[in-house]
Amino acid sequence: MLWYKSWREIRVVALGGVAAMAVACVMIVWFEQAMRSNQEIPLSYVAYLWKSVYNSIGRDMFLFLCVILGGGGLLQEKAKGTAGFTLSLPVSRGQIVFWRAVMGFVGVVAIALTPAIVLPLVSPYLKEAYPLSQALGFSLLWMGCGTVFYAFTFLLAHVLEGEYTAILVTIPSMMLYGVLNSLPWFEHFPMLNIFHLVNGEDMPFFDEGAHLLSGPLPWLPMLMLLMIACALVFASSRRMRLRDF
Amino acid sequence: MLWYKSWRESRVRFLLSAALIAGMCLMYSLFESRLYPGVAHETPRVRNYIQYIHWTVFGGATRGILQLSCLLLGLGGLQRDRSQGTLGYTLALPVSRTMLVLQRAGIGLAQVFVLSLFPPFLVTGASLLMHQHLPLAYGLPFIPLWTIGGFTTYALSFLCSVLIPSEYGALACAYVIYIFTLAAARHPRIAGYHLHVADFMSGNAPHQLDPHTTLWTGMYPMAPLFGFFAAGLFMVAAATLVTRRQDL
Repeated sequence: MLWYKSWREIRVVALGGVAAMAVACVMIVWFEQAMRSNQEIPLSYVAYLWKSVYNSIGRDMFLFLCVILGGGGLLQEKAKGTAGFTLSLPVSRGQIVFWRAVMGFVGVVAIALTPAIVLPLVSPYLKEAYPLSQALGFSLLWMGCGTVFYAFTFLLAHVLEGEYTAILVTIPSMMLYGVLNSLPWFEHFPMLNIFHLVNGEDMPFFDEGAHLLSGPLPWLPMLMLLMIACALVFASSRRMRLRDF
Repeated sequence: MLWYKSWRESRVRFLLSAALIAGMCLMYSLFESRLYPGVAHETPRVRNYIQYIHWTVFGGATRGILQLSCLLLGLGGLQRDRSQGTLGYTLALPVSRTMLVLQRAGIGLAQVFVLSLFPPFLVTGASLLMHQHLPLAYGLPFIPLWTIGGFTTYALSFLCSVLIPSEYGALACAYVIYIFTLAAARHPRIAGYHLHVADFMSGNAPHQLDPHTTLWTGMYPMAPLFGFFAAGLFMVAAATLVTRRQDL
């Protein structure tokens, strides 16, 4: 039942995130004509969706929700005074951390998949179409990149004790990472730029003109991101094992 | 002593936010020679030092961090006391719930004001060290804009923290509403009312900053200033009313 405990902890953010993402996608589709007519350069429907969902509101919201999902854990329970109850359960600390990480990841996946379900479903109502394969491709990119931000916050939440401190440290860390990406050295390794990888911007697998995924997805970088996320969760688990509550 | 209680509850978040904002101001000013080429390359409208500082500090990432800090500072209150099991002690204090809420809001407004003071003074000072010229008079007009815009963002989070028992749920809800209001403010039918709080804080509302030079035009946005402040006060008042009748 550890998974259920973890689910109870994250369900408000996860379900709220899915609902908010769905509403955002519906609104973006619903108001597409008004928003597109307001653009200086005419945009196709597909380009408008990419700019609005995958390069703007949707992406920002997704990444921030990933960060919030990673914010809980045993140290936060300590502040609330419930860590004693959790630690007295007949399971190891490693299992507690593992299931918390897994359920958070489920939340990340659920939020990432929301546009892939909503956009192709809603578009036909406005006599437009958005390919399911494209939406699924972007959702996979979101999952791969979101997992790292989630796991990074997760690690910080298991290292830093203050409430919201992990979130408050993660956001500027992400910004610092963005600044570092603009340095000339990083331009030689475009796949290291997660902010571009998350939506395909300036990537060889993305057609900038059509705003569509045109080549095979970057499976190797995605696998590496997943491994980094696993390493961060493992580090969190190690940290908790030695922690004196 | 209620203010001291509010201060103790939020001081870690406030000090961390202050350190972040100060750090970002110093980083963008002191490492300007390294960062400017990249910013100018990606942003064609950045052609001189003042435009660079506006793009990175007053109207850019640092302003975004202030707003995020405001969202985090707005969290807490009686719902948090309840989840931590300290609600009984707080409610047993010989003061009304209204006083508890207003005191917390007052401390929040003061914290946002202090955070808003950092960029003009730090950036001007650091610019002098780097032999760059940025007049203090350029940064000072941003203080009221950041304070009021930040207070509006704070009040949104404040209201969510009263309505939603889950702390992270309140943060997520506040952020989502914030993003939705920004998106709605861009809709052509609403765009004419200039309700985009980030644009307001950046001085990008009409007739504030010259869009070509990014210098002040001499007109100050008094109507939006009062409008956003009234919106913040309205949300605090709503939070107070809800708290007074809330079954905790």
